[in-house]
Amino acid sequence: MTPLINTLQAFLLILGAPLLAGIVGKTKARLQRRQGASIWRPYAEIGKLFRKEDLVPPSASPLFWGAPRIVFAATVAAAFLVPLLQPTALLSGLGDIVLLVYLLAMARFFLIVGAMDGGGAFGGMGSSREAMVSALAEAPFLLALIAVAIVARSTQLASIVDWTLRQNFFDVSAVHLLAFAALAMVAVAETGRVPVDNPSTHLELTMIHEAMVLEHSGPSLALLEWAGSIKLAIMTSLLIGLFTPWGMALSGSPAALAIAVLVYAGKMLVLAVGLALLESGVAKMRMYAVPDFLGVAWAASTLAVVFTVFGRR
Amino acid sequence: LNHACFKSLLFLGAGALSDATHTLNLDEMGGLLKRMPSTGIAFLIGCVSIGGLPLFNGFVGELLLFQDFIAGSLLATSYPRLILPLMAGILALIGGLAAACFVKVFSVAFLGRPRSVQAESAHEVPGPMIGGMAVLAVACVGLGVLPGPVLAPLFQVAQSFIPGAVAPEQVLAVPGILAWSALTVLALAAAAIIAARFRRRTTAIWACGLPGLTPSMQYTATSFSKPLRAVFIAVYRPDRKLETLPVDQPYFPASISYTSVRTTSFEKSLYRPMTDAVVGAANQLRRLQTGNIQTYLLYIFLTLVVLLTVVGLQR
Repeated sequence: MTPLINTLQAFLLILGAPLLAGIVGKTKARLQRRQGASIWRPYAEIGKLFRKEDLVPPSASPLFWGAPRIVFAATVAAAFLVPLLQPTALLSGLGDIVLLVYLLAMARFFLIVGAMDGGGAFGGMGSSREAMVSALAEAPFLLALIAVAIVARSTQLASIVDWTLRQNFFDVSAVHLLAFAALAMVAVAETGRVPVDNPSTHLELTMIHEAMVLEHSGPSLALLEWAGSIKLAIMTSLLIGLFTPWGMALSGSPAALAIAVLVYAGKMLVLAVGLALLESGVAKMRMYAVPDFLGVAWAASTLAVVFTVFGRR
Repeated sequence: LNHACFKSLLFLGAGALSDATHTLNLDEMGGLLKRMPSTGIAFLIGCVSIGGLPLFNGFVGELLLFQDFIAGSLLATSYPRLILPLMAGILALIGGLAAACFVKVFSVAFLGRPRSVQAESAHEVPGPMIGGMAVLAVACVGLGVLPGPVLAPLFQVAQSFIPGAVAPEQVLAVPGILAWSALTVLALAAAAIIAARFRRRTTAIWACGLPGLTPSMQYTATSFSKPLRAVFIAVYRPDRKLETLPVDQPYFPASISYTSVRTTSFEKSLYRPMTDAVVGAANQLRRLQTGNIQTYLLYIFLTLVVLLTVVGLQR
């Protein structure tokens, strides 16, 4: 039963990820008093791109074409590590918090490689900025996860979630609050959302992620976009799983699972709307203000780790 | 061992690069993957390994180190309990910067369009050079996916140092999860490649509707690392000079020259005083060298007296 549920939740994450992006887009449109596109639009867009052809620059090497596939594969493999409905995951083992961070780093490495291969100026520009943001975001990401891992005394995502699940909601500690804040900030930076990057811009001065995928087209672009939304879903699922896992199924009974699905969907909806509110309420910051933003994440995650020493329970 | 593999691989790759292009300046390379594919792939594997990305051997070491740091939090004394997890953060920062650095090296040298005539006419290096790199590249991948055979003897060494040590479960679990995740990533990549074998068309890249996009418009190695240098400006302290001619018309310059010298501030504030001190001390010591044999005998006598005194005092 457990492997089945694990497969189910992995596919829920992968196939449901574009919907999350759609909901964020719709909410933003409504906040701007626009009708907005349907929440299913990302699926239509990915489908459309898959039916098109790949355009490859004459100077590009096979990596230009291969990189999006590797990005997608690494992101999906990372998605297999995340527990959603019950505290287990398809791919799970000790130390998988580090693996998760580095699988996402691998996706980014090849995203940069693919962008640099285009031979234009935009790819390099986006890559260079992405390299900066990600190099600085990696450490708070890991530190936040480590803080939680120390409290739960396990480096396995599934058992951390399991541990948190058994705690009382009102016992939530300073470590968790700080780690949550840090992880949320990292999530915003890593997935290229508004205060750091604007996913809907095509202006040279501001774009990071969009500049990198500019030269890609057709199925390659579809895979990249899909991988991007999976990454967003992974980050939000992590926030849910590590900090508010209550409602997950502890037993494999259908009723518990149904509740778990509903609760998970509800939490995702809350986070999506929250993200949309944030994106509508805050202006994109200057590129060189991003390190300061991530510096706060650094500070929060470091404090979280420091507090694990004092907050023994 | 991991480090040996990817570092020598990268050095061999760098040698092949300079051999093929006759330059060591990254900004004069570019587009080399098409011209020297074997070197390129080996170099890519080296870069990915040193960046500590999963499926390659750099990650194994990194994973074990992180496990150590986290395990340090369970120690009884509070100082290591506090410091070790924080070290993990520093390691993560280093890892992130290394990955950023090597993605830059690889992309600028091998991808995009050639930035110079030498790069355009570069050829693959001879077989033995490729062979050497290939062996190391295979080692990198092999150790990355199946580190078990190497970890086991290492553990025996550890046991001989600390008698009675038991293999921590974290270490034993590492090979398993790596092999599985490697399998997953490979399967997924293969699936994505097979499933997405769509038509491809070769077209020029979009140039904002203007003709003539030249290779010099690409991002160079220097411009790539610009944002990170800006972040760490306190560390680097570059000397910049922007000269605009003629001076009285800043907005309609006839010629602009921009120079930026990056000697890191470590070099200025850390290494320089040290080398200065060593050189100074050597100069002082030279005074002792009079060339007079009696003086030398005096030195020997004095040393003997001092030594005897020390030994005598210790009794």
